[in-house]
Amino acid sequence: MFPLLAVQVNVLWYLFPLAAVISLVYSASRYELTERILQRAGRLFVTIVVFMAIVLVILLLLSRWL
Amino acid sequence: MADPRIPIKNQYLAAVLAYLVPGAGHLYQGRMFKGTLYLVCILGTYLAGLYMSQWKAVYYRMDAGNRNIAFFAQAGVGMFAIPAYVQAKRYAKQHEVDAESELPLSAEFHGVLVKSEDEVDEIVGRIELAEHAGDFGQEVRGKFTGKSVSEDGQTQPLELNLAYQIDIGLKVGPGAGRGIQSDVVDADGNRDGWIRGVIPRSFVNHFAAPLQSDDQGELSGELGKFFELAKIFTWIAGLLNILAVWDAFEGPAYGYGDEEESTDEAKKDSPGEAAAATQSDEVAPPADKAAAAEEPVV
Repeated sequence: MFPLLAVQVNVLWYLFPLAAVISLVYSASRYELTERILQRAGRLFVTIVVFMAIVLVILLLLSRWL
Repeated sequence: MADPRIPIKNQYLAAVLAYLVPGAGHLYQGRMFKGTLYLVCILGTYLAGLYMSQWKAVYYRMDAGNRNIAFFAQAGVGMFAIPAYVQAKRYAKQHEVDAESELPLSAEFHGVLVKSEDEVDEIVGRIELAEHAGDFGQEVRGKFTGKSVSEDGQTQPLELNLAYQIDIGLKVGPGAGRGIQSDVVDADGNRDGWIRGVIPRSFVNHFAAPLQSDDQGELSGELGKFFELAKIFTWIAGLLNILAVWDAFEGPAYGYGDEEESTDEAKKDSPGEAAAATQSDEVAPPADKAAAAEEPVV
């Protein structure tokens, strides 16, 4: 029932569409102007991904050293 | 108060529409870009979560010990939250209803025929059950008509008489298959094995039906962490729709988008202004130099 391809994909990859959706919807709820929404959403998306990447690196280092 | 350039129309109707279907309120207001964005993003995320969980991630259950608190996050999207609530009520009510009230029953069946521990055949066909007058009052009997599939793949027509112990799964429940089990009797009425399998459960009867502990364990075993991920998708979509509902009701939180940003935001956002501020600091003379400049030249 559940597509085999979806199961084979690492769960981490699901972060990207989720972060994109959160960024777009959040920014859309703040402004009305399309350009402003897209500009803000892009910035928020990068912030989320960078933040998650930093957390991932910290956790990876901790799991290796501890 | 929303910006006058934003066509709020009837804000209460817009909010209700936005709650029921993400983006519908904005489409009603003529805010096509935002309506489409909410529809695709929120509804897409919600449906993706539902699909990943085999349409079982959203259900309402509030009995002690089995509360699905996450439903309140999922309830942000009304078109799924309301059916889940209705299904929970239908599910609870059916315990009081005897399965025999659904008879006569005729449905496609697939499952197994168990003659003994060593003799188990896969069977596919149609099952028909009805109430008949017996020695001790009304009793349920029926027949199976179809074929058996042996381990080596050979098929042969099969007809079975069903009687005595017949158990039918709940009419409303999770999953597209409804469990059924029955004793098989020979021509003389003696027990001759039993069948176990599933008959179809309609979409109306299984969509958003409350999951039981067994179902949850089964799903977690089958999907693993993807079941949790699917639930997270629906939670996030539900919560995001609250923002969309408020946007439909009151307009965007920060304004239209072409206003001057606040001072702090402006410093962060416009490098030109920040650079100008730095430049003016550099131009300003240090305090001692300024004091020296003020001293009269002799």
